[in-house]
Amino acid sequence: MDFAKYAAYRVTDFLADDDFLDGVLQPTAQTARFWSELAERYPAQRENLALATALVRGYRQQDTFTDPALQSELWQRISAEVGPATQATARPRAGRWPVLLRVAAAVVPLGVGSFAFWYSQDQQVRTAYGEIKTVHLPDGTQVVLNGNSALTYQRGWGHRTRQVWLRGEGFFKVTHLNQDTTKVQPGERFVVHCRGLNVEVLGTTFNVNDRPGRVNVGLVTGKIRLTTALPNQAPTALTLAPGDYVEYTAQRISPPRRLAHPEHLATWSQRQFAFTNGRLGDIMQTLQDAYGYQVTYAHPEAANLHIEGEINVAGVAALLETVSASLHVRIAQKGNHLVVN
Amino acid sequence: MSPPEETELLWRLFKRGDWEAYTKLYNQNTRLLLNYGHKFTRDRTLIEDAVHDLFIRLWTSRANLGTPLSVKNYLYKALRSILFRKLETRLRFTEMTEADPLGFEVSFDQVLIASEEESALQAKIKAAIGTLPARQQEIVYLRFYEGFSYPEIADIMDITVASTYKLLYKALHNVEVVFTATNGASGPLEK
Repeated sequence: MDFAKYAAYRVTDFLADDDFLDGVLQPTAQTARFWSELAERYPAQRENLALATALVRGYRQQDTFTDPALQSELWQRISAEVGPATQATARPRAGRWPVLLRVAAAVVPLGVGSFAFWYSQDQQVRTAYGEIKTVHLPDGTQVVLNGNSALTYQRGWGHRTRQVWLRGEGFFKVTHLNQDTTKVQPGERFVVHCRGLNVEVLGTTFNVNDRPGRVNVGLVTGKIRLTTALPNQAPTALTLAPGDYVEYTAQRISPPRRLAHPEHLATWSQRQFAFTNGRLGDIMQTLQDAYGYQVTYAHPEAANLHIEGEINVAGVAALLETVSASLHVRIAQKGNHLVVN
Repeated sequence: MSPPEETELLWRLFKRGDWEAYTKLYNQNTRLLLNYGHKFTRDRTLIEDAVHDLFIRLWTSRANLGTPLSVKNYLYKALRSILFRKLETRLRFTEMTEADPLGFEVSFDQVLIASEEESALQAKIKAAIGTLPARQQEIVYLRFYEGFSYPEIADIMDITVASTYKLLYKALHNVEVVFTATNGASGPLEK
């Protein structure tokens, strides 16, 4: 290789040079010697060489996307379609027609009509009791679904308003699209529909708990707007700031409460339970809603007992232990049934 | 056997209908293909569908495939065009007027950088790359992350080799502009 060629190279010239890049990406003893000798012969070029190398290495430190589960799921799909088992039943002849037929079956070219249908098709993710699942929406938004919950969205998602329908509980990390906060384009809005309540967001993390009888919404970061959307009613709207927490029951939004630890709202997504001055009734309700337990009280007033201070535990067993120890109650468990004495 | 030789052998076997070889090709390439797809769109369903279509098409038309210069090149090119068609179709139904349905974005959010010095450089790189339009981002990615040659890049992006030089220089020049702007009047890139 020729040293003189590189005497007047700028950083961009090095980056565009195949031999230089090769030396950085796949160094050999020989190439390493070349480049260090070049630096000795042309000390003025040392800085350019160093920066070009640093740029390549720095650029390569980028986020990578991997999803082994998706990869193996996809393989199941592929081998189910064209794998050895199907081949056996298809009995391929020497001619080309069977291959073409299989192609048509596997990859259906969508006409306009069927595409419109596909576009408006609902995607739904459900969780069983006690199951926690993360949903990735097409725009990058992540929703962690708690047990016994369902999230629905339209398949042809994205450039109109982003909308989802939630039953149960979800913790949302919404991809922020809004460029100009004074003018929100329709495609930038993100709306969560619950029973009677809509949560509209711009780019934000928040928790929505939609259970029979009430919907609770707590905001961790960002800004959201709540609107009630019942017919024959004047629409109410309320804007929340980080830390605000509201309850929606009997078709009315409660005045917002300030939470000292809004980040506790999402601890359930790590199978943690965090309560501040937790009321026993509320704690047991969580177990009922998301985990499917049945709860009965020997003395109904016990539901109003409060555990002073903060509790932060992982797992249902730890929670029950903490509750019974703090409140001096006995919680008997028979299968799915919890009895509070 | 060297990796490229092994891949060549796998390709030959797969073309003759060897299911094992085809499985190996899938296992060796899908992770990278998913990563590449993720630069164009964050819609996992779409990426999955595209990789699915690619491998189905590969298997069903294996008898008619030639021997590409590089298998990886071939797969990237094929995935890119499948993704393009899917994204373009979707756009047609949403009345978006962007000329180019193919966005391309590299992110640097999850990386933990040890030294402060490296961290400063990393921030500059992130800022500079962020200003590049989609096609420039893509060529930078194909060259510096995936290590494709100019002819391979031309094949993947469906442009002439001359255009790849021009496109890369444009990208590098734009990066240089951001670097000199943040370093003051005469930055190191200009020496």
